[in-house]
This record gives sequence, C-alpha cells and structure tokens, in this order.
Amino acid sequence: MKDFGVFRALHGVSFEVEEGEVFGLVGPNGAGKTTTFRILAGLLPPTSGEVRVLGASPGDLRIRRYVSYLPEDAGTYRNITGYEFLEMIAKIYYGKDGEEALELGLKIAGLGSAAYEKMKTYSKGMKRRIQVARALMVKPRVAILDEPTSGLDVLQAREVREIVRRYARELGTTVLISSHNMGEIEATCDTVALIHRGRIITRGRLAELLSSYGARNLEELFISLVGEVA
Amino acid sequence: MNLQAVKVLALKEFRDLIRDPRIFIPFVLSAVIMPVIGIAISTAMQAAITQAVRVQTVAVADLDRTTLSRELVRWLSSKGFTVIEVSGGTLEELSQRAAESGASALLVIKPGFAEALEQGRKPSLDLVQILRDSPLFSLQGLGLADSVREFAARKLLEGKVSYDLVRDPVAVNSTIYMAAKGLLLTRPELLTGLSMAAMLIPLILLSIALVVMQMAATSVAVENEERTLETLLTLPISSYDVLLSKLLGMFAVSMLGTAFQVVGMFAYFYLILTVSFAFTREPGQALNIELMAAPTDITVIALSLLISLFFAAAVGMVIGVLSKDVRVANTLVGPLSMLFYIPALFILFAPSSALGKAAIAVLYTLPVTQPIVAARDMISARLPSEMPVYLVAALALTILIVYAASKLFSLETIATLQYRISSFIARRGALVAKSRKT
Repeated sequence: MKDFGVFRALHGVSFEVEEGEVFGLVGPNGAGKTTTFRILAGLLPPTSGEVRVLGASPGDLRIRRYVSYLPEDAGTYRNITGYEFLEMIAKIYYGKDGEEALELGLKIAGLGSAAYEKMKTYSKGMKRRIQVARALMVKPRVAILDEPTSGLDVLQAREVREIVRRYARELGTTVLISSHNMGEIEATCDTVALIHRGRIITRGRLAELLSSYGARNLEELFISLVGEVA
Repeated sequence: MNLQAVKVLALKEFRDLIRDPRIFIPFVLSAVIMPVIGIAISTAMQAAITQAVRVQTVAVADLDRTTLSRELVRWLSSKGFTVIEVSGGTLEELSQRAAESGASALLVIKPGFAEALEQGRKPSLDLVQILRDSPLFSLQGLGLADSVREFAARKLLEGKVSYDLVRDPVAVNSTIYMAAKGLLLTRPELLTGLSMAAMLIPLILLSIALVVMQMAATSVAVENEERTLETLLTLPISSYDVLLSKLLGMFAVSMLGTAFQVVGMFAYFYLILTVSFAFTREPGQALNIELMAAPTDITVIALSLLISLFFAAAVGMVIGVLSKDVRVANTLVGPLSMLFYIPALFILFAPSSALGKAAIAVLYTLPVTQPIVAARDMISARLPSEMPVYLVAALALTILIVYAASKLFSLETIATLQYRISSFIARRGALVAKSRKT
C-alpha cells in the first residue's frame, strides 16, 4: 500500500515478474502505475507491505547497478551533448572501462552525428531514444520503463518499442513497462497486470488472460473487468 | 564516497552551466554596473566640489547702508565672491531678483547691523540659498555664512585680541593609537579610508553570495522541473555524492563568474576613492593596506570568503531541493538572502564592545558572518588566535548542510516538502489577492 497524506494511491498491489520476462503494467492515467514503478525503483518507500527486487530492498546501493529506471517524461540536460551524457553514465557504472557501454549506448540511441550536438536541439523522440539508451546500455538485469513512448508520435513510439523489445531480448534483461496504451502493451509484453484505482484487477500471461475472459484484446478485457469492479 | 562518479557528475554540471551564456548575465551585469555607479557617483561628487570651490556669485541686499555694511560687501569681494547688489521689496522679491541675476545665494544685511556690532551685540542677517536642481550634493552658500561670521568676529575683537587665537586657542595634535596593532595614526582621517576598505569585503561577499545562491537554487530546481532528478537518484551513487558533485561543478562555474564581479567591484572603489576629497594621503603612512593587514591575514580572509561562498551555494542547493520548479526557487531565494544581509549590516554597524565573547565566537563560526567580522577585525583590531579553528568549524558546518540536504534528497521527502511549500505560496498569493480586492 502507498499513502500520500490522506490519499491512498495504492490499495493492494501484488505481482511477481520472472527473470527474462517482459512485463506490462497497464491502466488509465492516475491508476497508480508511476507510483508502483517509483517504489520498485527505490524512489518511494511503500507505506506497508514488502517489495523485493533481485532479492533486495528497492533502491539498495548494492542492486542499483543492476536496475535501470526510466521515468515518465524524463528530460535531458540542455547544454551537454547526447554523447557526453552517455559517456557520463558509462563512467559512473564502469569507470575507465566504460567504452563498451558507451558504444552500446550510441548504437541503441542511433542518433548518428546528432549525438555530438547539445541535447536542447533534440526532438522529443530523440530525447526519449537517448533516455532508453541510457537505461539499457548498462545491461541491467531489470529495466523499469515508465510510459517509455509517452508523448511520442506513432512512428517515434514504434521505434522506441522496437528498441526496447530487441535489446531486452539481446541483453536478457527483465523489463517492466507501464502504459495506458493497451495496444502497446499487447505488442510488447509476455505477461501483464491491469491496474485500476490503485488495485491490480487481474494479472497473468497475456494470451491466457484474453482466452479465459473471452476478450479479443486488452482494451476489451480492461473494460469488461472495470465494469465488474465498478 | 565514489570519487570517480563525483568527478564525472561534477564535470557534467560544469559543462551544462558554463555552456549556458545566461548564467554569466548577473555576474557580468554587476561587474559592469559597479564601475558605472562609481563613475556616476564620482562625477556628481566632483561636480559638487567644483561648484563649491569655484568663485561663487552672491547677491547682497544692503538694507543697513552704513560704513560697516559697505565694508562687509567689500570684504566678501576680497574673499573671492562675485557680489551683485540687489535692493527693494520683500525677502521673496529679493530672492527672485537674486535668482534672475544668476547668484547662488542671497545675503540680506538688515538695518541695525552696524549698530549691533558697535555695541558688542550679535547682529542678525538673512541668508537665502538659491536651489536650482537636486538638493543632493547642493552646496550653494557654502562658505558665505562663514565669511560673514569671520568679518563680524574680527570687528568685535578689533583692538582686543587676535581673531586667529580665538578661533583656535589651543594647538591640539590629534592622533589615534590602534592598541591591537600597536600602530599610531598621525592622521586620524586615514581611518575613513581604512573603514571603506573594511566595508569592501562584505559588499563583495554579499553581492557574490546572492548570485551563487541563486545559481545553485536554480540548478537543482531545474533538475526537479526537467525530471532529471529521478534519473540521478536511481544511479548507483549515494544522494550525498549527487549533491556534492552538483555543488562542486556549480561552484567552479561561480568562481569564474566571481572573477568578473571582483574586477567590477575594485573598479568601483578605485573610482570612488580617487575623488580628491575622499581622504588625504600622506607619504609614508597613506592608505597602505600592508601596514594594516599581514599577508597571512589576507590569506585567511580569502579562505574564509571561499568557505562562505561554498556555504551560500549549499544553502542555494537546499532551496533548489525544496523547489519543484525554478519559479518556486526564485521566490524562496529572496527572503532567504536576508540570511546574508542582516548579519552583514549588524556587523558593519555594531561596535565590538557591544558583543559578548559567545556572540563573537558564533559570528566567527558561521560561514555567513565569518569573513565580514574577520575583515573588520583585520583592519581595526587583530584576527583571533583561534582563527584556524573557526575556519575548520565553518567548513564543517557547510559540509553538514550538504549532508543534511542529501538526507532530504529522497523523492518522498522532496515531494512532501515541495507540496507544503507550494501550498504555502499559493495560500499567501490568495491572501494577497483577497486583501487587494478588499
């Protein structure tokens, strides 16, 4: 559970994600997705209950190296270049041996010569790509991506989705994605949890959930479940 | 502490700030504004002095028309005044005529002037200063009254005793012995120059500290506003290292900016101090700063200044942590800058004797007040023997602030505090709007 003063943001959120899975947390705006992910990233403590990430408390300095978090709408530093930003991350994680991570980051970002320009000149899509690259270049065991395609147009969103799917598979990273875009979760995730008003209303493997509720897609499933809950 | 990470993050901060030309605007502006103010003030002062010492045109209305009153008119001419005689009408009409004739003052010698002097009584005259522009630096009539007084005194004393003896009957050689320094100042007016030198340091400190504080607050508030803070807080480094690296990177930039300001400030004081009448220089014992402060003292003050600026940056950073955006940070910096203003003014104007030992120890320990009180004592007294301890204490206090800020630097605490501060500002704004309506 998570309370902010008198407001209860999360009522009872419980789920497990297996190693190597691509897990989607889906729900409308204000359902509690960001709060859940912030708790998993160690940015917020839960008011009650227990959360374990890689067997440790979230935010523990020992596991931070293995957990990447991409906040929703994460901005960039205006006056440093994409290359310098990725180089900084590589050095923080690997010190002088960060060359390989930097190369991977540049490859994931795919910005070409634009990587050497100040990030204030980047489009929203480019900023998002650099942030996704930042999150994946350190080969995390767990990547927590909060609304990774939020605010992007259709083409940019598709590009980012493909980057996440491809590199998660290549790097063997466990990925947690949140989105209010049901189609995006369907296209990206193996397992899903549906969250509404701070509660997980169902969870499981995507195909199994759809067949057990007789829904054609996540949207139908969500609407039928929310109707039941309401 | 992860030194490698601190170094890398500090470099990021340095680059991000130094490549933004807007960051230097306040530094450059104050560097340029100070000499401009200096030029403006010194020009006005010079003009006032020139006007005061040049031959003045005075209008005289001799209503007494006696030998003595005529003698007074000639006396004024011999003293360098250009005398224009006016006559007839009320004081207002006489003043108008005097103004039209271009005089800077009107002297009305009333009937009975000669009679009073002959009988040993105090004669009565009217002196009207004619004001044509700003009363500031206006010195019309300066010296005219003194000349009239001298004339009357000479007449009253004629044949009895020398006027010069009465005016200055005892030769007093005034000197000042600065006990703490074992220094004899044969020209007490030198203290004016020394006091100005003592004020230089607090003034520089105040103006720079505020800019540094503003820069630190903005830098951290931007991390909040741009949502880059969340990323930083999930990197494999402690929040203390994150804050320390921000502080170091930002401090390096502010030191570069400070160089501009110091140059501007020195230019300002140079312009002010070179105005001829500001203070008198005397060969061998002029405003020789080395006479008043040993090189070690100046090094100590410089160290203290650095710590103080670092402290200002740390305070700014705490403000930034508590601000969800740049607007809130700017709102908070104003009132909190009083932290620097009030103690500085207090130290400048409160005599040391009014402060107890405990209060002096506190002033020497707080990074906000340390360089100000130390600068004052360096000039007028002596730095305390415990100064190294005070320097370490001030540094420790600054590090403590950074440590405390790092404890605040969790999203949970920040979100709660930011919510409270924003609500407070919103409530205050609503109250102000309501009171304006009513």
